[in-house]
Amino acid sequence: MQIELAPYKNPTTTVYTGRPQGIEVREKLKLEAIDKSSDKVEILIPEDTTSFNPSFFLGLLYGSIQKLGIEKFKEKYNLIITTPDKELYKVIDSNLQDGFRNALNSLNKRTGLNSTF
Amino acid sequence: VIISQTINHFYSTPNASTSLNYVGYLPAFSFCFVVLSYFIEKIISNRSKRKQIVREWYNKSLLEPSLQPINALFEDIKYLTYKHLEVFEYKQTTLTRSEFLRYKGEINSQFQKIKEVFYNETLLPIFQNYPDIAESASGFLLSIQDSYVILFGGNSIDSDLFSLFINDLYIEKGKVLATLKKPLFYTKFDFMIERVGQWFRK
Repeated sequence: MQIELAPYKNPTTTVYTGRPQGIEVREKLKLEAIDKSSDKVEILIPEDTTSFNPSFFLGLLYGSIQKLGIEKFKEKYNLIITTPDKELYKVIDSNLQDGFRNALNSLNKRTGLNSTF
Repeated sequence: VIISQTINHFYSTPNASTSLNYVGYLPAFSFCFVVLSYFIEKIISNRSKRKQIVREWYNKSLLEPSLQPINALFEDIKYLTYKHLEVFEYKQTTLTRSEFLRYKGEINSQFQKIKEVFYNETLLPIFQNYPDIAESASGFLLSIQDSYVILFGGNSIDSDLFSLFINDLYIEKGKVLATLKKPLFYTKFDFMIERVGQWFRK
């Protein structure tokens, strides 16, 4: 199953930003239902993307990561950066890593030393 | 002595188990109350001392060392914004479409690098000890990153958007500082415990 993110980007910009925007796209794509299916999913990030911010990443995918766990999520969802430009690819890839790191920290925050306050 | 006197009194009183005369037990009740008050006061006092030590530790080990990196982070973001602002529209008119996209990627990447250094060196140590605080601060960084990326997201810079970004930058800085200060505050529960402790000390 393939999901094109291109229609969910403002055509005048080259960026994906905002957690509420990510949540909105998540709802439009019905990712909650897709999470329950056994289908593997490819999410295509359009080639004219210059930024895929962690805020948008979290809005779009944190619900799935929370539900499936990071390993199963990575098995099920494949985020594909379609730009042919190597430099741009690295930038978007680093955005995605940042998104995963934020998601992981949110998932693991209860396992850190407990706050005494 | 009081307890043994009370026990003696209890056994020397005929039909003591059914007696409704509790006056004889008053010394024992008073004694128990004094002992209980002593232990409660001790527990509250130890709790307050422990809290104070943790607050001082947080302040010296995490908060104070993070102030300079916070200032540096916001200055770096401001510098980066002005630097790209000067050449953005020129680049838009002189570069090819793919070159311009790469340049916009570079703008994003430079912010990402500054943020990562701050995140790893300043926020991660806080994350290990105060995950909620660090997560809130991290959320404000994501918000600044959004404003920054939106500013350079189109083909030209909107002057209103730029004013808004500079405004947001300092508001978010204030929010980061306010969030990091939270563990130093006394909670309502702390105040309540303190008052109970004071009452017992009286």
